[in-house]
Amino acid sequence: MGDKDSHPSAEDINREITNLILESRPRPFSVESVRVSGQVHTKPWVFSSAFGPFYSSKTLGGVLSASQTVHDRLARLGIFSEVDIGLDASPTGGDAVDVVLRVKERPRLFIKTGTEIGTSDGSLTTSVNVRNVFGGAETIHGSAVYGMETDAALSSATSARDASFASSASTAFTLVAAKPLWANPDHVVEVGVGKSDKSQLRYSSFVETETGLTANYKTLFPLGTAEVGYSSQWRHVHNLSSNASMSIRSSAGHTLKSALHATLSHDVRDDPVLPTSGHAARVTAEVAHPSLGGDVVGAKVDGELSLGRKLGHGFSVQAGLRAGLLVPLAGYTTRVNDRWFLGGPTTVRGFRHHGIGPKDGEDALGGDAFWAAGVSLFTPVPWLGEGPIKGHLFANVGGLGILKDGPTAPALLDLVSNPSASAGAGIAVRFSIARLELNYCLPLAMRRGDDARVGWQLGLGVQFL
Amino acid sequence: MNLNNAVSAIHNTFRPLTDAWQSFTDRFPLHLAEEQFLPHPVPNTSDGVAELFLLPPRTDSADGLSFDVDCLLAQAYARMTSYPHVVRFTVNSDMSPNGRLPLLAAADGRLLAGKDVIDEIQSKSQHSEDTEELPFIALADLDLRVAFLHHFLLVPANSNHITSPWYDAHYASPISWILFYLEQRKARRWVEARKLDTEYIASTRSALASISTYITSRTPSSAPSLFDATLFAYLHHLLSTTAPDTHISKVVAGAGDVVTSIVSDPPSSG
Repeated sequence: MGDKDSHPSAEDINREITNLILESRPRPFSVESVRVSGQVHTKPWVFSSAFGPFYSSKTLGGVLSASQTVHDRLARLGIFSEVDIGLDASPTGGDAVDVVLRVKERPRLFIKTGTEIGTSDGSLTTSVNVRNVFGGAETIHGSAVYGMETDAALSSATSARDASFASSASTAFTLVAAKPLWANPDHVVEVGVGKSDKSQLRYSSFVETETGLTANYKTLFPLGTAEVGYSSQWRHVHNLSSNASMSIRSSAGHTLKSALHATLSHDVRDDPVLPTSGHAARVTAEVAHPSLGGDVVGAKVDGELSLGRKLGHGFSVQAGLRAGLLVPLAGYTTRVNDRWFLGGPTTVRGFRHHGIGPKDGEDALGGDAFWAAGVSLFTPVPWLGEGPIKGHLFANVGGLGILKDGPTAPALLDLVSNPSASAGAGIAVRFSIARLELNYCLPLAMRRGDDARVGWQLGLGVQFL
Repeated sequence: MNLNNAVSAIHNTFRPLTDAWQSFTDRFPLHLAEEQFLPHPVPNTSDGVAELFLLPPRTDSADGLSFDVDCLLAQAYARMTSYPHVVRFTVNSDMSPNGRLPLLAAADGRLLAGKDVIDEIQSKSQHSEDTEELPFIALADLDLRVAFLHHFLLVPANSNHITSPWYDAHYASPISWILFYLEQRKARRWVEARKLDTEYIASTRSALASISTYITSRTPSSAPSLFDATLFAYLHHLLSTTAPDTHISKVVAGAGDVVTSIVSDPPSSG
């Protein structure tokens, strides 16, 4: 008993230190100097620009709080694998301390290559990351994909004229350079160039090649994150299927779209993949005009809202709303690659991907305006408790349309008053980066031409309605 | 009882249940509304005549005749043979099944491109194909095409003065510059694969002489033919432009019989 009393436990020591710190927080304190060790490529100003909070601290509590702030700021730059901050007695004595910062820089160069080979296609992927390029926490990320696809001669899509094995190669790449302003990860400027092929052959009989550049500024605002930027994209709609509709053919060809855009996001959900509480909101606006370069004229705005609530006993409810409006200006006629698409397991369940809205033959034409709403009830599954598998009941509704005469009240009212809707039940599984759903769907209402069916639907994605 | 019988028995046992479920799901969707959007018919003309999609005219000309040889051939031939159609000018070559204009949306809804356009117009023409003309059409398709491409794409003074502004007028910069460069490169490769740079003027002169001989010797006909349309397509722009470099224009203008033959019955736009 006597030994126990003379040797306090680790818990006692921790408690005593915590109490000591708490009691000493108001004690006057100042930082005499900051010593940095472990930096190799990082410029000294990256550290000095982060040390402001140290020098403005007047108490021990202030110094500790500043340590946390500085630690977060340096860690979020993404160039250090370790950031440790310690306090040391100052040679001048008194209430002054020296801050000792130890960092370990992450490797500057990271290269990844991969090859995928299938029966009739293959691709080579290369990805390069360069961190801390000039010592100011700049990053450069580049990736490139070289793909080769061979169409078999017996493919129904191949015309008799081309009845031989035809190979097509495609190249896609992105190169993005980012720099945190004043080494502050809350203010980042990004410049990127890229080229990509987006195949819409399955739903709309065309391939779109986009080549262009973007410049963005990302920052924080009191409610979340904000992004403003400029993009200029050379868009080429080509490689139409032999049975492509005339509406798609009219949208083919070259356009140059240059636009200013802004996005505000706010997200306080407990989980972006399968939220059970909190809410998120996003709104994006874009204006394209020839004065910015190009031949596309229009304004576009879209947004989404998501709410989650716990109901107790493992039950939770999630509700979502999305809407968008595209307004062509100066007589511009919207093209298929300007518009939105709707339908599929991540938007309005029970409908096929791009299965809602205007069609010409088999081709989905997209819409200038859309709205979609949904409510999902997640339930515990017997014997699985609080695991990642949930029971799922849902109801979805939405509409998508082409506004031939612009966004007139009757046209918008028609979209709202004649929606496509579905309901159903199934299971939802939360994986680390995505959600998998398997639902039995019943389409309740639809427009002629919509592509829906009664039965099971599998969905994999991150953002579900 | 074998496996098939067992499966059949199970199936029969649950049949009332599955039938009931089937009749329940057959009721969906409960509400079916009309389409929100109806696409245009093909062809999209008020009287149902064919639509002929062509590359636009020269920017310095108001004659309404396509600047592209193949498009102008289809335009001229359709006009000469009174094929019922409406002309639509567009730079959207990708809309065509073969990626090149002209594109004909026939009255029956078929989309035709390349040689099929000429065949369609010819099939509605009351005049049959004259096989005597075929070698001269082939001659024009080689030598006069080389002359055309040289004049408008490969002679810098002319391409900068006439062809580059056409691209600037129909595409946003810098796409216009890139597409113009690509077209120049394609033309250069096509020409270099067939002719030496130094011999194209001589071969043009020779081709025109052969054609001139044929024109003077052929049986006069009241109906214009594919040969006439071909000749017009190649020579119209060479004769009607005011280009800084006039080497080819002068050669063409010197072929009096040939010029007379196309000037005597020019197709108007339409």
